[in-house]
Amino acid sequence: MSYLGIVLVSAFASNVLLAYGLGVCPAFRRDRESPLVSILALGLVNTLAAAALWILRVLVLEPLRLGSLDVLLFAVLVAPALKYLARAVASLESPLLRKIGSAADEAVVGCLVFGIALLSSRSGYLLPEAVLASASSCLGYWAALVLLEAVRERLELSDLPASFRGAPSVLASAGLMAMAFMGIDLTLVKNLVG
Amino acid sequence: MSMEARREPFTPDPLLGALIGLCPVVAASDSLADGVILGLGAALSALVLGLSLPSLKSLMPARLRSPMAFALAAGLAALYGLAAEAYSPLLAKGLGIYLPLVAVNCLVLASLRRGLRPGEDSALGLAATVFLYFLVSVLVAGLREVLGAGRLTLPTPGLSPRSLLILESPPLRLLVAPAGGFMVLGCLAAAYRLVQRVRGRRLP
Amino acid sequence: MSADKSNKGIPAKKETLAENAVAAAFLGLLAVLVAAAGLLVGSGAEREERKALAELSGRRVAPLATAVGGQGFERVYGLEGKGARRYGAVALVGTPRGSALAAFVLAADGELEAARLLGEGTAGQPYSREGWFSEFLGRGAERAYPRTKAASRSPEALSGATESFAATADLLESLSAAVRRVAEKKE
Repeated sequence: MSYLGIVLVSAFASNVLLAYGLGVCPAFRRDRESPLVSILALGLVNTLAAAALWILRVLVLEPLRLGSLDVLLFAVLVAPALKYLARAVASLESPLLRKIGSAADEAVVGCLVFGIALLSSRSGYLLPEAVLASASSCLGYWAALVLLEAVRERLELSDLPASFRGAPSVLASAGLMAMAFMGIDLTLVKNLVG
Repeated sequence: MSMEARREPFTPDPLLGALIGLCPVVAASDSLADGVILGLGAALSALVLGLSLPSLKSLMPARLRSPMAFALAAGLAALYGLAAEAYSPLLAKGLGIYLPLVAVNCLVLASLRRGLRPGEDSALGLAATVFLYFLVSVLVAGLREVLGAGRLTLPTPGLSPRSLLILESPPLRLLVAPAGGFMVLGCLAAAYRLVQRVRGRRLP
Repeated sequence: MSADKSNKGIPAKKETLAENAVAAAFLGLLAVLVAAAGLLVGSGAEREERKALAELSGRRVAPLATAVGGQGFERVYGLEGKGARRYGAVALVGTPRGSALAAFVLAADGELEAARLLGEGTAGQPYSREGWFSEFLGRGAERAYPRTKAASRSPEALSGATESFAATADLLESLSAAVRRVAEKKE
């Protein structure tokens, strides 16, 4: 697939939140950072995690037929290294970098980062493609989150039945949004720009 | 008429009340077999961690407890994935990344944190929470498959799992897509809140 | 004073080393357990794959498979027998809405020669229809399915390109490329 195809597929046709259901739990949190901090933190963590897991899996584990160890190696090597890096960034002087570091530190152990790393390393991509796919997935996640937040703000002002207020209405809205994203056909995208 | 109002402490259902561990239920559990395998994986990992960590943590160095516990969760997820592959290669391969993701399921992580906390919590409470999670994830998966595809795929071993045809023409085909998963969860969560409200309970 | 401080430092260092050793031993044990289980399950899966490929191709399966990273398949096997060398793989065909396991035999240039459905994840999938894979036979050498990208955008190709068809085309394109790489290395 071409690089443009990888970006469009990862960000929209196979959006990690709306097509894979990854990172749903953090989507309900109200105390999120500003959009700039979120996108930079997620981008940092996801691209590094995907690159690290790709290198471990493709260059080390698969030739040794030990692909089953990728989960354990992520937990033992990749996640602690990312946490260390995030904390190092969080201890810098710049307030923006401190916020990015602490947001990245929270995001490391979660299905979003691990899920994107697994998707990128198991899709048969080369390393630059895997890094691009993970960065695009993260961009797509952030876009879906921003849309969902806008819908949630409107829902809070609406006259919903009491049982539907809050998370149930957000889930149902996410379903409708996922339905809209299904219209970005994977086959069409691959045939046009693949 | 009773003038007394008392707030009873209660533990909400993990999936519909507390809304944790949603990732596998929303997208991957579009058949009964998938729901059973993923629900069982999360439940077993959470149970093993919750029961073993209180005793194991005394053997772990204090500053390395969290990373070692997380490694244990990852190891359990890897072993469960391999067991699922040995049981039914097609179902396990079809689930793809969702089997390794059991390691970072919010229910499993919550159980991990609970196990590392000082003091003893009720093992019965943990078992009840985990069992509820399994039950609800199987229920959601079964509902999605019956209404979305008109059949139930049973988690039988071997290359081709057995299927039971339930409805000739399924009414809501969207339910087997992730979009349907979000909607089913939203409606069930609303129904759960309504039931709790009628019983006089408020969710946190 | 400084002697006291340096004396207190040595037990602390020893303690840290001991803690790290305990952690390393625990992780090592876990890794050995997972690796052993992985090799056990993997060898069982390999055995089944060899059996399916031997039945489909009527040839002997080479003792060592080549590990290839691809979406849906992990190994490519050499198939030894009369005539030119063939290659085989067992792959997961499918979309998020349904998957199936199939065995494929390919020529050294990546052309698909035979395919057989081994099992379905959920019942009623298109792959189980008789002759479903016949559309792909004889294709794959150097080109995608259909033969050219321009042809894949024509109405005839797209109308047949249901999600399952497109997913299988992607898989076979990837598998053909993997077989060509393995064949080149052998030469």
